[in-house]
Amino acid sequence: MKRTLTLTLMITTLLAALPASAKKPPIGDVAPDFTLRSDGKYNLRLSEQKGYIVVIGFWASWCRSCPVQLKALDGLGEKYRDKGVKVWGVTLDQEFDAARHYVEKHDLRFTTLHDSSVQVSERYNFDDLPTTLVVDRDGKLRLMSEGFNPGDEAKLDQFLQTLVNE
Amino acid sequence: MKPVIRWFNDSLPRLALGAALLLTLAAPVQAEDDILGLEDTSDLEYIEIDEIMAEDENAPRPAIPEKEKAQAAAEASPEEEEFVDLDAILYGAEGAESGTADAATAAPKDRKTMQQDMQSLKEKVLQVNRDLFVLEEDLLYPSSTQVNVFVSFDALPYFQLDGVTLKINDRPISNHLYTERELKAMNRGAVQRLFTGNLPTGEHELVAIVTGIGPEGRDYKRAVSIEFEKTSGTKYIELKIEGDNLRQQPTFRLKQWE
Repeated sequence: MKRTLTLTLMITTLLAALPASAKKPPIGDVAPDFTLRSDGKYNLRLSEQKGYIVVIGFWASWCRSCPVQLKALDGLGEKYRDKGVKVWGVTLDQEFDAARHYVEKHDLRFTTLHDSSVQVSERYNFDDLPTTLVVDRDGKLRLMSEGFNPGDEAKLDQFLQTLVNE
Repeated sequence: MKPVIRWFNDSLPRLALGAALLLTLAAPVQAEDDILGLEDTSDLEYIEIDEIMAEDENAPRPAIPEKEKAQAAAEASPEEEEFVDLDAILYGAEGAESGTADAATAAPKDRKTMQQDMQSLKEKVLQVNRDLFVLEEDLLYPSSTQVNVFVSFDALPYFQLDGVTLKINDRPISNHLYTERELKAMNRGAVQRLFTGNLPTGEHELVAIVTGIGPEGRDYKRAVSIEFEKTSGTKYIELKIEGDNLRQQPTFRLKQWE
């Protein structure tokens, strides 16, 4: 009786976990498309960036662990600027002005986009901030990493180097 | 005389043995010559070659295995090698040359045919895709309930379109942000189909909220609405964004097409 109950519980847990994991876009598939307002003159659409490697960092001004990621992305953006790599910082702040203010204060040079309705982050179904995505030249999702530790910058650098050389 | 006779008697068997040996050695040569009935060996050789030559011309050639042929060719004198080379040229090499020539002409032909096949296949795929699209539209949006909203845009120096939000009966149905590429296309006269959906017959209200950057770089937001009656046919509505050059202001208008 006890064994049957355990088995049932395990199956239920697995079934409950399946849809959540199935929602995340698979690595290697075409990255879900989106169009967002940017701090530049025009809105930006991901599917129009084919031919470029796009590094997307999701962040918010209230997120405590985001500064490490933002600093790393800023450095990598400058390093790979002439190698066909674009860095986008997608802010989940409700007010775009708050994010703009943060970017100016911290001298961040990458393009900032505003996911005001959180529709993009829902589409990618990540749970943590910051989250970093890498989309290759063909528009395929190559990396999705939730959280950002100090050592992750070197890993991301190495990953970008590999993508640039492809 | 007696010692001479004794020596003769003693040596007689030896002499007899020597004579017998001599006779034995001479006997085969004489016997061979007797059998053939020939006296000159040079004549023998000459006759034999002629006969062999005559026989060879008349007799059918025996099939020589390839291995032996190759061996013979390898061991052949320079004169014979020339003949072997001629054969190779006449049969082997010429055949090979013609084969390569055929292959050279066949390869581009094959490539051309393959390209034509690929092209026709692509066209067929496009046609199937088109048919499927029409079929899908017919199924998802039957003409009796279909509503389409289009956006057209005049290039204006004092207005940059940012986005359009559509609402039907206070319900959001579409929210579109324009990119640089889309704006360039629309500035060249493209008409964008922004929404296709279903509505029951009867009275409805469509609201379009347009955002952008207006004169002097200021944020611009305007809403226009239209009340329309959905009949049994497909409904087409156009959002026209034009410019009022006198006032230097953009104008927005919703227009029904029958």
